[in-house]
Amino acid sequence: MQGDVMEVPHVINDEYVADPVRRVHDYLLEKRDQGAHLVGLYCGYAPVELIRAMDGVPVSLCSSSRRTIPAAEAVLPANLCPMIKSSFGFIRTNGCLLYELSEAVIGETTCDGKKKMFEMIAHIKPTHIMDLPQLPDDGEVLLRWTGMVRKLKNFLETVFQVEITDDRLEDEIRETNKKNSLMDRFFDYAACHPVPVHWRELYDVIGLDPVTDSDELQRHMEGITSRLDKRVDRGIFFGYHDSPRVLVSGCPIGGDAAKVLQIIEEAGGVIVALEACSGMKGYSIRIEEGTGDPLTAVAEATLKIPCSCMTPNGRRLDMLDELIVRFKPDVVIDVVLHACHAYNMESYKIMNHVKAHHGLPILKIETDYSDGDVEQIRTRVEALFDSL
Amino acid sequence: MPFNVADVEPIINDEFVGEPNKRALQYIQTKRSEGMPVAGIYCGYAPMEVIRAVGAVPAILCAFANKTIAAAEAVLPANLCPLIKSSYGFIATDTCPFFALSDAIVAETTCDGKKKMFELISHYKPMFVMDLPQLPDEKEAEANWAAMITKLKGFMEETFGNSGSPARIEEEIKATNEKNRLMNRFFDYAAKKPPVLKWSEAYELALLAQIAYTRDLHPIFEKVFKQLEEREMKGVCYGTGSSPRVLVTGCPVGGDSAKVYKIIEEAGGVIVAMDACTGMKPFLSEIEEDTGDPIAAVARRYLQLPCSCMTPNMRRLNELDKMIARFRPDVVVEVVLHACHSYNIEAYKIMNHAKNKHSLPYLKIETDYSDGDVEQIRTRVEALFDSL
Repeated sequence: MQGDVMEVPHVINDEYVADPVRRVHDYLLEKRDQGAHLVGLYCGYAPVELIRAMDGVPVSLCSSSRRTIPAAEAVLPANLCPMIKSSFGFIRTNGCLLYELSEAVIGETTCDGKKKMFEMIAHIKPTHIMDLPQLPDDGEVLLRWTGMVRKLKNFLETVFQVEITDDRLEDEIRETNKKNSLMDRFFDYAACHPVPVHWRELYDVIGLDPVTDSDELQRHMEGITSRLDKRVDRGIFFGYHDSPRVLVSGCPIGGDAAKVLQIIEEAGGVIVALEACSGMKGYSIRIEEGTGDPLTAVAEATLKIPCSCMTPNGRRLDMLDELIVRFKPDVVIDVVLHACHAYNMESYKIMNHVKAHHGLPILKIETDYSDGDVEQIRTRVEALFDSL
Repeated sequence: MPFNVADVEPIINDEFVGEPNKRALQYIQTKRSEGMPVAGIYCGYAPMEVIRAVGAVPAILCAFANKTIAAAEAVLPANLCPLIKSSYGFIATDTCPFFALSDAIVAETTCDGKKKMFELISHYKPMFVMDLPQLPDEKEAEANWAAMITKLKGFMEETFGNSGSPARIEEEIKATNEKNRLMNRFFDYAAKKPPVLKWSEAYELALLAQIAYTRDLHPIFEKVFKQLEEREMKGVCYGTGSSPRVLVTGCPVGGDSAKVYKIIEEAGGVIVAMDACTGMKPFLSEIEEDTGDPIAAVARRYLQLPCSCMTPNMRRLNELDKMIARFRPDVVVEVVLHACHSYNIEAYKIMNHAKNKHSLPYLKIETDYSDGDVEQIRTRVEALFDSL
């Protein structure tokens, strides 16, 4: 941190700044007390607009702690993605309050591990699995996926005895678009050089998305941008002018996996872009408004998510191109969670693309939620920065 | 574990005894020299009737050798299923004669690893990737899969310059059913107590029968059944009446992973049932005839394949029940290839089912194509048999 002040107030300057988890809990409990239905999710392919259109609340379920992994490994193989093991372990130990609060759960056939893990939890709560097409460029793919989104709508309507109207869905499409635009504009600060916003603040602001409507998010953003503008005016920024700017790509990173981001920072890098689903990925997508067929519009938008579960996943390269142009990184770090075959194998393409098209160094880090590899990762990140 | 008499004539007594791949290669070369195009396949979901209806001969591509894995690991992660690594390695080193003979490749989105591996080989040959539904019990799955099969047919017609009429598909459906009935008559000899058939014989004929046109198999079946009847008359049997009867379930087993079969045999067991795509699975069910919509009939049948890529894969438990009733095993051994998440996770269900419903001892063996774990597996299999 550079500049003329030692203590810079957090971009979100409210009572929850020190405890963003409590923000989520308080919000959900309040919503539940107001009679809203809570629906648990594990993935960005679940169309949240449908849940909001029935005045329900989408809840991202616990999946990022190593604490619950030993309990999971009593049933699941050890050689499996830590996110899946952690998710299952949370449920097995009744350790995820968000799951306890959820009245139904939505899963998708995104990867082998999740697909089979869902089988093990499907008996606990009403659980709906969406058959996700894997060929996003196929001619009929939108038709197939729209069919699945319609089935989800039927599931929600049946379980909660509600009707999800096209008008309400259209409203929620506009809400999502407004929020995504607000969030996307906020990311402009990470594109500044030097960077006035810290990666933890990026996460904290992204964390406002599930607990706000567009008006509330707008109000938050007013405070956030004014604080960030002040930082820029006063020359307050993170790192140094010549700190390596890092784009982090790959698997979702949060909780115990955020060690990688911490290490990058400690090694002298500044994180300017977080490509993953836990970061910026969803916010560049807009849902077409006023089509008269909001269900198809929602389906079309979710299919644009450039996840490695898709084949071929050319959109991820396009998105990387955009992120690289916008955030001007000096290096790309691809984080792959242990045994996540899809991201692990796609990493080869990402490496070639980043080197050949952008002339940028790239480092792949395969890791899990333990801290056993922290010093090894540090050595590799430091070596990468030394080589710049 | 030998036969109880010496000098038992090999079940297919030709110059390829013990070398089923060479037999298959010769068959495909002959067909190709007669002008038939070759469709390379990796999986039991490739609809053989449609491949044959367009006048092509299917070739099962190389996937079972340890020797090509090192070359694959230059690109693919080490922590990946050996079958996928081996397949890719064969192509990277240009050493799979079946791939060299193939005019096109048929692929499916069965698992994360294969799906992403196909991306890396898609530039070698014309390739069609089929988006496989993963929820086979949902009512739209059949229509979606039938649409994919129709697309595959279009791709092959274009690539091979042939056409496949519904009448030709219907003929091939009938040919498959005839073949499957013959194969099941053959497998009945393994169900006998003691078995009259050795696992390697079942494996050899199954491998040829998967790729060959039924009409070409008739002379072979004639000799096979004649021999088996003779064996019965002479009291020839495999193992002894007290040898533990083993049902092997799980991932495809062949080539270097056939070490597991050999170890079971060396430990005194007789393998009476091979519940894998390399064994009996492709032949177990028939395709509905004369429906007027042969592609829908084919789609329905392939979706019934109880692969762990499906969720929930209850059919596997049902099929297992039938196999246990038919082959009367004393133990169930599950073979999971390293890092095959779906079979690995599903193994938990299979274990509970074998133990609780059938009171059969169950052993899961997680292995790869190396020979580093041979003695460890032997110790576990011997301990299993000792405990009977």
